[in-house]
This record gives sequence, structure tokens and C-alpha cells, in this order.
Amino acid sequence: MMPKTNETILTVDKLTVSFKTTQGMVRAVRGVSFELHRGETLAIVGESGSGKSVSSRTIMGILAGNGVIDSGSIIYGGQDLTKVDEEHYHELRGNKIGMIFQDPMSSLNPIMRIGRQITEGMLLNGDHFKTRVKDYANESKNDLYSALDIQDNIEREIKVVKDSEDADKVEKLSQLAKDLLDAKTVVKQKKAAYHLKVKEGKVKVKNDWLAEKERVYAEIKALQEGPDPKAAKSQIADLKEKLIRYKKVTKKEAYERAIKIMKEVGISEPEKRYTQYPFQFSGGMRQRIVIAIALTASPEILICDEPTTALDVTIQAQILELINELKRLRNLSVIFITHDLGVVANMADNIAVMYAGKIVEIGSSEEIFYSPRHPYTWALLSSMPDLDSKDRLRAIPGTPPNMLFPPAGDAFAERNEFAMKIDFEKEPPMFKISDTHYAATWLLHPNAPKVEMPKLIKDRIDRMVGAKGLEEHR
Amino acid sequence: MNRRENEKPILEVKNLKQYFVSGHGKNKLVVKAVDDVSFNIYKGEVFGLVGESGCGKTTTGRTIIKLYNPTDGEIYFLGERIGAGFKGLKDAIKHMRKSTRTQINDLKLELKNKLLNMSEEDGKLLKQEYNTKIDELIKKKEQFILEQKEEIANRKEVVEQDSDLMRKMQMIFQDPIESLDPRMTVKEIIAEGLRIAGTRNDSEITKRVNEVLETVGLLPEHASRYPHEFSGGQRQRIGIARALVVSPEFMIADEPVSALDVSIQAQVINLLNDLRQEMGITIMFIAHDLSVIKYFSDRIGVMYYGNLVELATSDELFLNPLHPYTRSLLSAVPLPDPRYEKTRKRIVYRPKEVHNYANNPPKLHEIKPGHFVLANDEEIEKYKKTLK
Repeated sequence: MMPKTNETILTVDKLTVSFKTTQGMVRAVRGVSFELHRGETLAIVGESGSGKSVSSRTIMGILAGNGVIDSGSIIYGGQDLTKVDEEHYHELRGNKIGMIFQDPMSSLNPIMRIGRQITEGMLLNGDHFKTRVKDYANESKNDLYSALDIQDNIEREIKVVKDSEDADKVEKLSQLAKDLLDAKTVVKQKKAAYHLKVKEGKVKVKNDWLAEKERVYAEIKALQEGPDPKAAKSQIADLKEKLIRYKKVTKKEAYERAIKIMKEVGISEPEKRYTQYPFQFSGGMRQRIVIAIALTASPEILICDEPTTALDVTIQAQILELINELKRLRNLSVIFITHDLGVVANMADNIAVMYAGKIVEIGSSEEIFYSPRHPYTWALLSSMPDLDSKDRLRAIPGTPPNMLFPPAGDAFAERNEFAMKIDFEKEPPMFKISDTHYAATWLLHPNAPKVEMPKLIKDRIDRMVGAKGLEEHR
Repeated sequence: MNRRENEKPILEVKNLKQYFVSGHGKNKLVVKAVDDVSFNIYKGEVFGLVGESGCGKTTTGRTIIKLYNPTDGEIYFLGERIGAGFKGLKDAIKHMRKSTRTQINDLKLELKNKLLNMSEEDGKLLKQEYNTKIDELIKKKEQFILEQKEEIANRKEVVEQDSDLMRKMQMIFQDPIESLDPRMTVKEIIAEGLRIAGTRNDSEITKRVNEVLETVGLLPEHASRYPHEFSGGQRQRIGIARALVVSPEFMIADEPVSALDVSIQAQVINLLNDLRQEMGITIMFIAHDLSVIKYFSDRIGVMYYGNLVELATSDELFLNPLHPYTRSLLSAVPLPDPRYEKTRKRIVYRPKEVHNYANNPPKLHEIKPGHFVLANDEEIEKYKKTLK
């Protein structure tokens, strides 16, 4: 498949995440970079503990309390998500980036009716006054943030210079102190401007509301004094409802939208289901509800963290079909996390294979499945049972490395039968294979010995590709 | 298959039923988890049992190893009856009592009518005649009930007896974390079966534990550690070692790889494969993942809502899936092949639309040697045409 040339919606660049533990820092993610395009699915595949869930949780801003982002950036909508504070993450989380978790039972509240769980977000975010004021003051808020950023940078630099042993240390410091003062005054100005803007916005929104109210009441009055006041009753009720909806999301509106979304995710009799509790739903149905909740705010990006691992084959197929369908209808970008390569083949446009906190191979799904290059990808593919053969499975020997002490060199070298001496000493860079296909293994170095992929996978790929008469791909 | 005739099965399950009853009176709810399932397992083979969650495959396994007492049906292991339910017999007694009562009542009514227009003398004779008839009926009933009760007592004895035979059957559980006691060391966990079997000598136990640890690919020094010190795959190996320590002939593996990562899955499957080839252990393998089952099993039984809907060798099942549920299950298997996946069409199974069992209930038919399918006569004709 050709790479999609449309816009990039999310860019993750050299992201590094660690967890503070009593034994030391656990390096969970060590420099992950990828791009997500609009309307495509990126699958992240790896064993448990490879850092795939941690990467996605960092994007959602829900790292555990002891998690630290050491370096790197996540650019979404011109903003670096690693620098956004909790207060402002609320505007992104759920609204722009939705997430579905592995276990549908533990991600739903067992003592709350399904309907309330779906509408909760809509009602909480339903104050239109607030959003209008926010929109009005948005520009000056961004100004304030950039000013704050500059101030932060200067402060950081001062710290660095203070610790250094440079000869012109004093000189530099005085210059920086001056800069900092300037920056602080700018911030003060911007802050005042922002508060003014908010005030203005509040007045403007209130005036708008009063005008709207007057207009609607005039209309109602006209109807009441009209030729047939009795017949106009329902019309008047509609008008009143509309007026309230101008102010906030009403319960009725939320109900209507919830029913619509429940229909969209394939729940029959949504009116009846609306008042039921999670225990009255089967596993697949529960996962549909979780998807419905994620969809209420119409996010642009949907992160699915092993959404089908707890389900059996038939239900899994249904949920995968549903996610694909929703992706097509809503032009969603999906990050799909799983350890099952079979599931990925159906879903993904691009696949990133992760091992020990790093992406070891990334490419389109055809490239990964039909011409894998990294020994770890080979190992993953060959450890899957095949419907057509009874050859002995090639299990990956050993266990993943302890991320308290990440190994020097290639992290997979210890378990790799093709490992060379350099694998234990130096980390391999990403070698380019095609425009979309990269792999981090020394085997791709021009000086490396020629190594063929294991016969088991080669046979399998020959069977898959050959059966359809598509030899040219090899 | 020919082997069926000249070989005795290691495990025979006959009309097994397992019902779970909850509540009383109008709240009474009977869940028919397993409803009339029969199959044989032969020595050295791997018998796969597949179906969606809640179809009764785990209950079948647990009933065979006597974690539950069967409601009805019989289980034979190595030629001996190890488990039997008697609900059917009790029902038969009830039915007999009821039918005898109605018969007697009918006779009495007949006698009364006849006595109305009859002299006293003749009446006496007739009465005697009818009384003997009734006595005969009662005698017959009593005889029948006695026989049934004897059989029930027999079966009860089977349920209560704790035979050495059962040691030859062991089970591996699904969740390697939940199924190991966190407060016992690996050695204690593995040796528990040996101790219960009567081995008291500690050096003997240590020797045997180290032996099985090596068989499953662990080291003797692991014996003194606790389960939490191991990864998921290693814990499942401990579970397998615990089953192996008493040298079983038959193992029930209840979804042993569902909770594991793909790469670890392969290790465990390879291990089970080795055990089966080297020690000749017969395995009943329960799973919902068809690609694993196909890879590992010789014969596969497909279960749907407590019923066995299809039973065939694994190649035959994948070549000739007959029952619509089997087909829908096969169409849902994801494969690591993007081009195939993009065009895959899933078949949805809706029992009410496919089957019409109102006047012709289905039975398990042998449509081809070794290939059984649950169907009624009309469907059998239809399936026969589609056979390859």
C-alpha cells in the first residue's frame, strides 16, 4: 500500500519516559519517534513490558504518579503535550484524544447506569457560556503561554550556567538576569491583557444571551397572542428548550445524543439499555459502551489499548469491525496497541514493533508482514501458530531485559540467534529500507554478513503471497 | 477412523450433563452448562475443545476431573467408571410412579363402571380379577424402582470413592497467577500432590521435584523461590510441573496459554508438545483460540451452548466445516496476512434463522468416519452434498 500523503496529526519525537522506583529509575520508553496521519491506523506491537502502553498513556497525559518524561516531545495541534499542565490537559483529553482500555469491566462504574456514564462527560462540559468565553480569549491566552515559555527557558538556562565552570559565567548570568526581568514584565502585561479579555468576553457573552433571550421571548409572546394560542403550545415548548440549549447541554439533548451514539456502536434497543447497569451487559457489549463513551466528545485520535485481549474470537472480530467502521465514518486516527500480530493485520495501515522501550521496526503493514527485517519481528511472527503447518514453533528464548539496567547495545541481542559482536557493544541506528520502512538492526549495515530470515516465516510468506499470485512483492 | 475399533479409549464421556441450580420456588433458575455431551479420547492424542466463553467447555473439563459432580451421564477413565450422575434415573422413577398411578386409577374407574350393572356375585369375581391386575402393576413398579435405586446407589458410590485412579488425571489451569498459592514456595506447590499421594521421604520428594522442574525447563534452584518471583510463562511452567509430578497419563489443559504473551505462548505450547511426544501423555486441550487449537490438536470438538456441535480430526474440521457455528468460528480467526485480512468476510451464526428444530430435533450424526455433526435428518442430507 502506498504511504498516505495527507496531513500529520500527531508527532512523537524521541520520547523518553522513566519511572521512579525504590530500586532506581525504570527506563520504560527510550526514545520513541513516530508520526500519526489523519484517518490512518498505527499499530504498536510488542511483548508486555515493551513500553507500548506507557507511550500511549503519555500521549493521553495519564502517566502514573512516579512517571517522568525525561525528554522528547509530543506535538499535537501545534502544541507540545509534554509541557501542557494538568489544568489545560482537560481540554484535550477525551475531547481531542479518546482512549479505550483493555478490560471493559474495570473501566465502567458498576453502580452507575450506562446512560449516565455515557452522558456524564457531555453534561459536565455542557456549559456553553464558559466555552464561548474561552474561545473569545483564546488568542491572548496563547500569547500568555508563549511568554511564560520564554520565561521558563531563561530560568532553566540560568540554572545550567550556574552549574557550569565557564570563564564568562558572571557576564552570562547578568545578561540572563536582565533577560529574565524583561520576560517577567512581558508576562505581567500579557496576564493583564488576558484577564481583561476574559472580562470582556464575559460581558459580551452575557449581552448575546440577553439579546437571544429577548428575541425568543418576543417570538413566544407573538405566538401566545396569535390566532391559536392552544395550538402554539408545543411550538412554545420547543422554543424554550432551544433557548436553554443555547445556554447549556440539557439532559434531554444529552439523552438524544447518547441514544444516537449507542445505535452507532451497534447496541440494539438503546432506549432500554440506557437505564441498565454494566453487569447486565456481556463482555463485547461492555466494550461497545466504552467505545461509545470515548466517542461522545467526537475525538480526532482514538487510542485503543489492547481492546480485544479479554474477549474471545467471535466477539473480538465484531469489535475490530466496529472500530474499523467508526474510523472510516468519522475519519478517526487510531493508535492500536496489541501483542497479537494476527489482530493487527486486519486493522493497521502502519505498524511499529516495540522492544525494550524502543521502536525496532516501523513500516506499512504489508512491509512488516511480507518483508520483515528485524530479528525480533521474525521471532514474533514465527512464534505464532499457523493454520497450515505443524512445524515446531520457534519460541523466543529467555525473557525481556530488566529495564532498571537497560543493556548497552541492542536490547534484543541476548535473545537473538543472529546477534553479532557489535550488537552487544553499540546500539544500532534506524536503517532505512524504503520511504516508509525502517529497522534498527546491524544486520542491515552494508558490512554485515547476509542473513536470510528463518525458513519458517519465509515459507509462510511465500504461501501467503504466492497463493494470490503476487510474486513481485518478494 | 479405524483406530476407534481396535483401541480402547482412555477417557469415555457418555451423555454428560451438568446443570447449575440457583434460587428456590419461582426464582429457581437452572443453567444447563453442559447438556448431553459424549466423546471419547484415545491414548496419546490431543483432544481440543473449542467454543466461545460461556459455552461450557471449562465446565466439561472440570466435571471430568471431578471438581463438580455430574448431574447426569457417565465418565469412564481407563475403563473404570469415575463419575456418574443420576438425575436421569431419578426422573425415570418419578415417571414410573406417575404412570403406574394413572394406570391404576384408570383400572379402578373401569371397575366401578362395570360394577354398576352387575350382580354381587359376579362383582366379587371381577373385583378379584382387577385387584390382581393392580397388584401386578404395583409389583412391576416396585421392581423397576428397586433396580433404579440400586443403580443410583452404585453411582453414588462412584461419586464418593477416592480412587488412586484419579491421580493419573491432572489439570493445568488458565491463570498462572491465580492458580498458585503466593505463600507457598515452588517446591511446596509441586510436592503437594506427592505428599497427598503418600510420599513422606523428603529426599525422595526433592529428587522428584527437581526432576520435573528440569522437564519443564526450570532450574532446581528455582524450587526455593515464591511464585511472584517468576514471569507469566515461568509460572505456567510451574503449573505444568505440579501436574506432572505424580506422573499422570491424562492431562486437562484449561486455556493454558490464553493469558500469556505471543512469544511466551510458543514456549508453553512447545513444552506441552514435547511432554506429549516424550512421555506419551494424553491431553485434553481447552481453548478459544482456533489457530492454537488447530496447531496443537489431533481431534477437535466444537461446543456451543452446552452442546457438542461438531467433532472431527483437526484437518478434517478445517477442510470440511459443516455446522454453521463452526463456520462462523473459523471465519473469525485473524491471520498475519494483511491482503487476506482486508478481504476476509465474517460469517455470523444466528441459530434461530439457520435451524428449524421445531418438529425434528437434532442428533449427533456420524456423517463420515470420525466426523460427527449435530443435525437433524434434513440437514444431514444438505451437509452430505457439501462434503469434499
